[in-house]
Amino acid sequence: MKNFLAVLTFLSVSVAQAGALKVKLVDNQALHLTNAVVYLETDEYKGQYEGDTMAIMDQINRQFSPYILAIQKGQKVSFPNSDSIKHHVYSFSPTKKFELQLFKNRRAQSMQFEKQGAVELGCNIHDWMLGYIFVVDTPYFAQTDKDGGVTIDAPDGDYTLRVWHPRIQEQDIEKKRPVSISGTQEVTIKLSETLAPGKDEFGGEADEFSEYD
Amino acid sequence: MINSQLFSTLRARILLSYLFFLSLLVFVTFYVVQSTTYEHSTGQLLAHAKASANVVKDKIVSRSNALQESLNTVSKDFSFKQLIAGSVDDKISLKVALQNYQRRNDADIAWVLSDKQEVLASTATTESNTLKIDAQKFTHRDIQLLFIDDQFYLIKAAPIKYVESSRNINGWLVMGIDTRRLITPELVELTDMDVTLLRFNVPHQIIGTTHSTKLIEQLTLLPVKQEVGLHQLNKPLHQYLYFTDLFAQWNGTPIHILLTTHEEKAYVSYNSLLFQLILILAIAGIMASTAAMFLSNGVLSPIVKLVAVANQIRKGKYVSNFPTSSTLEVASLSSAISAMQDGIKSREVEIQDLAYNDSLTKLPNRNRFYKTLKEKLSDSPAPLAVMMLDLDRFKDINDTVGHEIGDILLQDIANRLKESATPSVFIAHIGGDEFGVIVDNIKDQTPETIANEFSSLFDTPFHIAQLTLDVDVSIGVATYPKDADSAYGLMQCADIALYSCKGLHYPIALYNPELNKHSVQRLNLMSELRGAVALGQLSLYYQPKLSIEENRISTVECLIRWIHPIHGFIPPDEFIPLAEQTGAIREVTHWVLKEAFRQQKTWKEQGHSIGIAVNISAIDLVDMTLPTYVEKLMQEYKSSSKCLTLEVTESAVMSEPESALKALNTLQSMGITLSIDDFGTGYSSMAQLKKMPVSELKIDKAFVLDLANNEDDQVMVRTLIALAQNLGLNTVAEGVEDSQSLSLLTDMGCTKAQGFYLSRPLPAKDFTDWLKQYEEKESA
Repeated sequence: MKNFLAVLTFLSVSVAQAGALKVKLVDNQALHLTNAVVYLETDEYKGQYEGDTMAIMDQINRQFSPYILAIQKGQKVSFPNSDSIKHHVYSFSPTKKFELQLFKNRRAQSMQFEKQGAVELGCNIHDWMLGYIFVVDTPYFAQTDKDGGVTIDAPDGDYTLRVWHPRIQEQDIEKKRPVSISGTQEVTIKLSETLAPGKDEFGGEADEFSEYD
Repeated sequence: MINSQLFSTLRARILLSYLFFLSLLVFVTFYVVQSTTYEHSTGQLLAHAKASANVVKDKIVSRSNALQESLNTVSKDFSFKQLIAGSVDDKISLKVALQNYQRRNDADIAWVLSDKQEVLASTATTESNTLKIDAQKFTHRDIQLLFIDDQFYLIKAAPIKYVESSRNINGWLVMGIDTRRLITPELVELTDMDVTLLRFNVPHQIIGTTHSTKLIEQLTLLPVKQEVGLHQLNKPLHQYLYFTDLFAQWNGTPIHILLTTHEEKAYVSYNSLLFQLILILAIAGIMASTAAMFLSNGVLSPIVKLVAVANQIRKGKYVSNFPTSSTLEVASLSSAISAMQDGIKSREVEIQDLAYNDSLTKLPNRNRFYKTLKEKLSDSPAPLAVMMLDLDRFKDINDTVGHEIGDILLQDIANRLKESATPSVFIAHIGGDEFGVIVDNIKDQTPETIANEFSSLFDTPFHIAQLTLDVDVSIGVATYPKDADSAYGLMQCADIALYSCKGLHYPIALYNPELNKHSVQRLNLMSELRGAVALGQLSLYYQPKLSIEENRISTVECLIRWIHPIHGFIPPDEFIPLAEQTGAIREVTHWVLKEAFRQQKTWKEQGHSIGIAVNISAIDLVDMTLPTYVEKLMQEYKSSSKCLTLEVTESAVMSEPESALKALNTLQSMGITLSIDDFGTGYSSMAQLKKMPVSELKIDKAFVLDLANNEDDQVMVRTLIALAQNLGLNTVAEGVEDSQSLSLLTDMGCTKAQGFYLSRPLPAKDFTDWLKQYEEKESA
């Protein structure tokens, strides 16, 4: 959570001169959704991530941390292992297929994510472990807080507003909402479909996932 | 007939009713037990079948679950996921891996489907690859089937998630087991029944079975509508029972479990129970029958003994031991029979008394006399005498002084006989005025002495009601063993002797065989005489009567002769009295008359004019048909009454003088000559003689036979002839045997002579010859 806040701070600093979009995400039952990736797509910006910030997908207490990691296309992600046990992280997602044997007290391995899309992470040793890396092709993205709110700084202009979360159904994920930013604006995204069941509801072990949805 | 007798015995009836009720009990028990046991057995079978069906289902579900678990595990396998994820590039590796997993799970078919349910890999045939499988459906716990390549499969599926905790399903692992393999011999062992999975259709589809082919055919023909429960197969396999239960659904049609068993196996406990029941009932039947036998014997053996006792009583043997019985009815029957025997005894004494004693004189009667005599004869062979005593003229006494006095007289006689009796004498009242006496052991006495002793008992007159009755007695005596050796024979001999002494007017007569012979012949002749007339055994002999004055044969006496085929010649004085007794004399006389007339006519035709003389008896005189008959004969033979002489004995006229005179008068008026036969031997009174319309006296041959030598006879004959002449009667002398007698008679003035000097009686032909010779001699 500390790292996550750090990223937000960094983003807000780097594009300070431009406007900002305050987004409020509610589902069709007016409930807030935390950790959802909200991003603005624009034709004016395409290409690889050019920064050198390494995103981190850690293993803490036999869980992926964070649960959902949003990165820009081309960005590298480091996979450290904060646990004292071995993890075997893999992905069969078309966006990025990989397999990492993560031993304790070893140097973290990292890799670059060249394709846009969702990467579902699992651990071959621990079935309950589930994490997502969502790769966006835009620098303007953020993740909702516990109230479902998020502020994206972006220069004034026209954008396409999109959201992603494992619980958000495909129709809402595919939906492209055109927005024009001019100064600070506030937008509420209201999801048309009911959220997919939370981890508790599809049979996960509650205590392992209580902190995120 | 035998049957009805057999079943009418008490024993049979008791046994039969026992058996009847026992059989009833047996059948009711058998029926009740059989039906309840059958129901129970059926219930047990049904319960067993239900349980078995559940076992089978459970087994299959277990198998299905095991497959499911296994699929779940395989679907989590990382390397398998890797193969699936890499199947776009390497389908072969995935298929081989799939085959491997299929083998591990002992499945028969397997697929890997994509998240879009497209077939990524399959071990099935190509055809089934095009199959659209809704994999989600096969993840449920219930039994799901698929019909592929003409075969049913139990199908299970597990979702494949690349990341286990993910919401997304990335593919499906699907496997199936051939249903035929689900129905294993192990199920038969577990359920003790044959198991079949069957889809009801036309015809039914056998999905799997443990049966042999023979039954499978039959199973495919079962009725379409099947309720869950117990049923029976149709013939010829009707001995099989089956139970159906719903197993699963396929394509909206139900799949059934069918459990089959053989009837014998199903009802084995029921059958053994029935056998035991039958055995128990059979034993009970034998025991009950034995009990019935004992019971009936308890009642019956005294009854059988009573029957024997009753038979003894019937034979006249008295029984002192009556069977006892604990059965009240039988005991009272026994005492009733005992009382009956006592009653019979006392009545028998009375009857015996009546039967063997004379009620008037209190003496033993004829039956007792006979019986006693018989006993004495069988007891000892000592000589004894049997005497028959008969009172003379008892009828006259009765008629004169009355029956009352007569009875008292009989009682007095009985008392006098009893008083005189010694222990060796047995006296009986034979009947009427006849008494019988048996004298034992007569060795030292002659029968005459004994008879005289009894005769002397009657010397003293009897005094009854101021009357003095002088009674004479005739006694016939027979002795044993001289005269006869049987009781009946002795009595008969004594009777014969008695009759002989009656006839001879002797007080005592001893039996001699001559009397018997006579008597026996007499009895026979009585019956044969009538037949003799018809059979022509009778004939006439002719004896000439010489008319002394004319010196010619004027008349012939017709004498009847009976030549018996066995006895030969029977003298007329033997059978004529018989004929008189039986009444046959009338026929005999009629025959004689007719024959005589016929013969007279013959002679007349030959030129001999001869009168005929025929003897008639007293009976003929009483019978008033005689004159009419004679009249008729005279007309028939054109004879004259002057040519007929009827000879009548003195006694004949004397017995019934009035009617005899009447008849004689009639005959005389007809012009018939009447002659008194045997004159001089009877008791003819002169007064009677004077009245009689006779014209001839025949002097008995007793006076004539020795006439030539006996002067007394000469006096008698001369007197008789003189008497006759004085009465105006002719005389005929019988028994003329020599010429001296004839010349004497001629001198005496006798009218006719008859006798051997002239001729003995001759048959008709001989007589005719004799007559010719005589006439020739006389004329010469």
